Amino acid sequence: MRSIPMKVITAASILMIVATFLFTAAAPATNVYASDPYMDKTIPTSGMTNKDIEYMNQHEIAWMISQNSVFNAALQLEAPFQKLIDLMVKRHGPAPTLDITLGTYDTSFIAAQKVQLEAAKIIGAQSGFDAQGHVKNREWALQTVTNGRESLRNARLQLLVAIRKLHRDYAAWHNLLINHIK
Amino acid sequence: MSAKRISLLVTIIISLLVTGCGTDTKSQLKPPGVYRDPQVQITHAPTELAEIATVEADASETAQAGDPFYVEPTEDEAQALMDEIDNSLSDIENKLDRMNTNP
Repeated sequence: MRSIPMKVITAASILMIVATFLFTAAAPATNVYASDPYMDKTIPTSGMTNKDIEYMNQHEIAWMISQNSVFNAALQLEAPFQKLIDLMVKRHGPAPTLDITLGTYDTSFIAAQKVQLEAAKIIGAQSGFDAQGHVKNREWALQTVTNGRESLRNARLQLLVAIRKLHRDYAAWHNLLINHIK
Repeated sequence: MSAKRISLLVTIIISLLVTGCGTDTKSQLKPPGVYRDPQVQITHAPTELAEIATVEADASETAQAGDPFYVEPTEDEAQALMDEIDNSLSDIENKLDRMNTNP
């Protein structure tokens, strides 16, 4: 067997080491930014690669879709609530406490939904990204991910506050009802 | 070249190949064609629901007046509605809580 010259082997090894270094150093994207819900425009973006921004964008799209389903579930809540009110009205007459509780929730829900729709508009426009989700214009892409994230976070908080208040008021009414029956 | 050197070089090359000199597949973006446009789902304003609820109430009243087999809602119905509301509220709260740490 013809032996390979030492120089060739050494050069090949060096080339491979350099290639390895370049591949790992050129794409240091992590999903740290993507999974941080508090990442917004107050955080410096100079150290952020385009790949980081693309990760954030994809993460936000998934976040928005899952949050949309929670909003849908929150909207569906009104149907059983209204049925319960109708039942109580038939049995005991007007049910102002439940009516007020549902009305207050409606108002808060609409406000939260507006913010969620704002997030959907920002993220749906995909400003700064191409059709494959790659950064086309870094400045616009950064605005999309930071503003989209801020709106998603605010929508989540507003809905959570509305749901917690509804739960609290409903539980208080339920306790009153149980005590009344006793 | 000595056998020792050759074996050393082969070991280096194999270790480089095993550790992988390409990009991590997890960090790669979805290839063109697989990517789908964001699915923006616009939920309906609850004002429409209020109209539907009114229509439903009217329909049930008509049914109550005209249907000789109409049965008054039972205690079980109220309990079922209360359970449904309780479960939905807890479910939504849990989902929203999880979104705070890992949206």
